Amino acid sequence: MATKRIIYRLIFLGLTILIIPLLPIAIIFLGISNPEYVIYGTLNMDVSHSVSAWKIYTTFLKHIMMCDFGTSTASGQLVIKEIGSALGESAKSIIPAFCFSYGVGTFIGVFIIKSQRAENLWKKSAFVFCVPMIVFSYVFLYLLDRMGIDFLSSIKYLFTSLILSIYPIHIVSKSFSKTIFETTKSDFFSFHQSCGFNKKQIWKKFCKKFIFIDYLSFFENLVIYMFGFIFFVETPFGIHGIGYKFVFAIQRFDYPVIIGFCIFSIILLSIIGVLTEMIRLRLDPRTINE
Amino acid sequence: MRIQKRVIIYFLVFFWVFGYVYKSFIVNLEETKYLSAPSLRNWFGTDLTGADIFLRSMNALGIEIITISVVLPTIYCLGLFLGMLLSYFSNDKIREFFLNLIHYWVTLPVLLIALFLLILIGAGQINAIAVMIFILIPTQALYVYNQLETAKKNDFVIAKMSYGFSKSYIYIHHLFPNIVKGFTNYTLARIPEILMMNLALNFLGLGIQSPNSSFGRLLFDGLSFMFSAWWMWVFTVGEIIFLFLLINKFKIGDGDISNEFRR
Repeated sequence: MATKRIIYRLIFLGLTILIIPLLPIAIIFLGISNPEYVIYGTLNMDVSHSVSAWKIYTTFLKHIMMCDFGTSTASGQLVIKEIGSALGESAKSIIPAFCFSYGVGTFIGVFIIKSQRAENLWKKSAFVFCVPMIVFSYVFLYLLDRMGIDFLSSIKYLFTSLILSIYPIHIVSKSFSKTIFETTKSDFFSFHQSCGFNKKQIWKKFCKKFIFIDYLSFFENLVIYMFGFIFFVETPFGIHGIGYKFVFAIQRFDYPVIIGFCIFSIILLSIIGVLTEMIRLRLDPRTINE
Repeated sequence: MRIQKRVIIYFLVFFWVFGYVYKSFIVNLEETKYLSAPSLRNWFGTDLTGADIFLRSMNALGIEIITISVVLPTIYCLGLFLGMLLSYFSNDKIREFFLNLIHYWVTLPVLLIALFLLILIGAGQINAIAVMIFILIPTQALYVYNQLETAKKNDFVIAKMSYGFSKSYIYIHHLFPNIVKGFTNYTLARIPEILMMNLALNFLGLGIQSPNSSFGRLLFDGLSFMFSAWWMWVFTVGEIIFLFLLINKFKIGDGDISNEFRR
């Protein structure tokens, strides 16, 4: 079952790559819109003359396979080069954000389990996590300026990482405390206790893995969340990462960059998803008998 | 004297409605000032084009309400239909294929897909709503399917089957009422997600177009005046916080969206 799921995901990943170039053709064919400008910009192909749908499809597919999305109409640079430099810039915020999310989330989770007061305090302050991250970006940026801190220095990466990790911290801490609670109450735990192991030994020998698997189970969605909403932090802070470049590509109608970013991110995140799923299913003893 | 929270909410609603009517008919006709600070005439100040920020934010609030009232019922009905269809037909191969397809869809970066589709079909709030509906339905269907599969294992369903009731009868009269409350809560709990997505699409300029306004657009416009004209973004930020906290306060849906992050 587990292997089947992976095979299915790989098949769908292949189908995604095959379907993406079909979308503009389908949209033209169905008469929803006329994205000729997108095709012209990305493929450098004038579709106002009689060009067959098959030719557009195969050219687009070839471009995707070769990671060739043309050149940016604004900067004149190759789109793939722009993506590469933007990814490097975004990684400076995303990687620390992951460390914050898992580190601080686990720390808070431990506190929630150990102290009732901490749990109550945490529950009362949970409303903070309902606020969208763009609000934090604006408020932090304004306060930094008021406090006289140069927000254009490297400190901006620290703040963007913090803002990016606010909601994930909530998710990690909640999940951590839930997993510990469920595992402690499970038959698995009482069985090992009756075998003569003490709590510490059981956690050390058997249960650590469960927390790791649990963390892995939402790693993929955290990546998607951070990648998807990164423009909410990069645009106000002026970090020239994926989000910032994407926003300004839309403002400048720089279609090769927009399409390149979208397709590249969708495929990259899908591959990350498949890899995470493979590792998770390989590690999880509960899926062996599925 | 302790002021009830409900009174504050009533007051704010009244303030918005009264302010919108008052400003639409009286103040807007007067001479406009460009980028003026909040005053008695322009409560939230004016923007670069001289438009009243209060009126723009009211317009944005209206757009958000319309978006939610279109997206929510549509994803509810279509999700329910698809989920029931998946659960009803017991052809294992087809069901397995579709289930894996939905599972795969859930793991895709839906916002990026939405952006890609919007670039192709063109910007506009109607297109944005259509795209949002399209990308949210699979998760709805998956929820219905999972709930139905759990409900199917109940003893009363097996008993009804042994009495000879038809499959469709059991689905309509027993399984559907069993899941409907949970599904309604789940759908309502997605309001913040829809708002957030709408905010993102409008921030990028792919949603509502001028002369209408949205919170995302207001925030983007305010970015250039972050330090020189604070009123361009402060009130919008306040309204967004208020909107999200209001949803959280009333526990609309009462669902646990954080479970969405688990596979």
